Amino acid sequence: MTAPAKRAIMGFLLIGAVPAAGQGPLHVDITQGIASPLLIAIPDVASGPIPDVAASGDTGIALSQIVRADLLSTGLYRPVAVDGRLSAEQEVAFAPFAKAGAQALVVGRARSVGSGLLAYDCTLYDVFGARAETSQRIVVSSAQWRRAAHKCADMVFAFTTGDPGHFDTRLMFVAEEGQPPDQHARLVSTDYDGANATELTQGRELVAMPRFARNGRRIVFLSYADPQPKLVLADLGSGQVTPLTLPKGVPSAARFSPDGGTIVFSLAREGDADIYAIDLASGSLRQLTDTAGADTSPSYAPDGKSIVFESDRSGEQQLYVMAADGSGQKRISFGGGGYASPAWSPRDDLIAFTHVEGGRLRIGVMKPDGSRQRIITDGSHDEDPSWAISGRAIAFQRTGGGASLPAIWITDLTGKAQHQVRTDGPASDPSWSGTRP
Amino acid sequence: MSHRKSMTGVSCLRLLQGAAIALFGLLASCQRPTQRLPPAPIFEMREGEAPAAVHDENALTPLLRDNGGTASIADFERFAGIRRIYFERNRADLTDEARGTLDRQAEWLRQHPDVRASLHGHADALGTREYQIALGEKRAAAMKFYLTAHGVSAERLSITSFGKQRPAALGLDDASQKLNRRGETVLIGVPGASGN
Repeated sequence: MTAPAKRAIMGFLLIGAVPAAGQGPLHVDITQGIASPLLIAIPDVASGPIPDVAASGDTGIALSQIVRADLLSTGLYRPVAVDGRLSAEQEVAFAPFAKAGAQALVVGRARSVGSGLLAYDCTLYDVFGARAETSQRIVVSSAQWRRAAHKCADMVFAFTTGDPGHFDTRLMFVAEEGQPPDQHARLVSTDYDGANATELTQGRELVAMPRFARNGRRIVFLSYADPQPKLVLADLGSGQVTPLTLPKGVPSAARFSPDGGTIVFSLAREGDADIYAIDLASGSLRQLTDTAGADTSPSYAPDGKSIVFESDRSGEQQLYVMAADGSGQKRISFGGGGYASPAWSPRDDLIAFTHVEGGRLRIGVMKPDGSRQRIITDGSHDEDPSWAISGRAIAFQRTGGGASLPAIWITDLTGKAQHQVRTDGPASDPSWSGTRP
Repeated sequence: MSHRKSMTGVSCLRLLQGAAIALFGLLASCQRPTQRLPPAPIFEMREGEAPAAVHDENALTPLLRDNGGTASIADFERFAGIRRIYFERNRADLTDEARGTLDRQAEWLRQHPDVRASLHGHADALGTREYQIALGEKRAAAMKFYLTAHGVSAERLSITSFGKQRPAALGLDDASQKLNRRGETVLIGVPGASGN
């Protein structure tokens, strides 16, 4: 057994232990969202086909491709290509990678460990130091083989940035089909890259605004089983569904507190919408805002002590921050146009929002005090930002011009690395989970 | 019930038009001078003239899937002309045209005190999702306020909002989005009524 392999911890689904942030040569330096990309080589490592893995061809190569796609999607790494492929048994020769200019090298070695299990030894090497920096043995059921690659990419990301990776995560969104008035909406969750779709609802009722709890096990969404919509809490493990008992009115815009114990939401009554918080254990309700106008889209800071929300109390949609008990409400957005649907980054350094100007919706970020605002997307209709657990990427909905079919996109914080998530048909209103259990 | 059924569309409309014209005169005096009349009015009403016929296509082709042509829904639609009203962009105040439609709805609801209604507020896709829920609710609340001010008891009216979650038209063009800025009056407990 190699030294790195000895360091790894074994488990059934995955191997834990997020490595400490690297301060050595393999650190991605990110300042104000601008990164100096790390030169990284992620060669194909052949393993041959592995039983029960639903990938065509060589499992190891398919895994290498997923690791590469994950890391390159962030805009924080620049790929260094080296001819040829490695095999799982092969010792790593650093010279070709050093010659090609790679600073980092990721090698994942896959093999079957029997009874439907796949082991993936993922190692991050410092090419110039010619040594392994960190390593994990990831064991997954063969049916969940893609998660092994996402876990490997998470390990590299965490080591090189100091932030948790957002690859072994789920996206949840609303899939809409049909033309009015016969439209159907289903809640669908997929891996962050669109693979492994699961239908959470079957389209019998209108559903909207799904949101994950940080742990990804519970969700809350708006359900129109009858014309009076309800906020519905669902446990994805047990399948148990619980409508929240709320006062009369139209609830919407629900989000979990970081500890998962509270849901904050907007309740519209007689033309006035205010923000409320409900304690899930006791069911007790607390009204947090009471000014005239539409107060909506509340989102907790990662420490749970502050909430950012939007209000049109000034005459147009603007962002405000308040303490979690509703005190100290303070406007933070002052640029031109309107500001809507704020979302507080899990890293606590930024608030994402939808900027509304001249019929155009775009995604932007600002610091929690409202300074250093930047618009980072350039579509005509980009909205509904949802943070990755890394705080280094944002999922959002983009609706194109003529065709008008919404899709989920992911952007980095510079707006330079953007890609569309492959979904089966139109998708809107994304929510991005935290790290999967 | 038989009395209601015997009131055909034509006789119903005539009765109503007298009342509508009287109300229209009243409302016109309250109208702010800067407010533009919305284009393509559903009813053309000029004082002193014989009222024009319904010429909104939606009134002729009911938007409800009216399976079997039940009398009450058909009656409501003939009487009220249309169950939808439209709003200006990002506004929840009622246009003159919307008031005219709600006048007729209020009249019908006063004549049918056993019928309840759900008022559905909708918003266009141009605004942000969560804000549009609040806007839709504000629109439905404006409808409720107007109907109760015109003699329909508040207990018979419930309000809800779909925001932009249930569009009438999908395109992001202006013409499509105009159709989405709407309020719908959906009868409850009436044969043939269906939620939306």
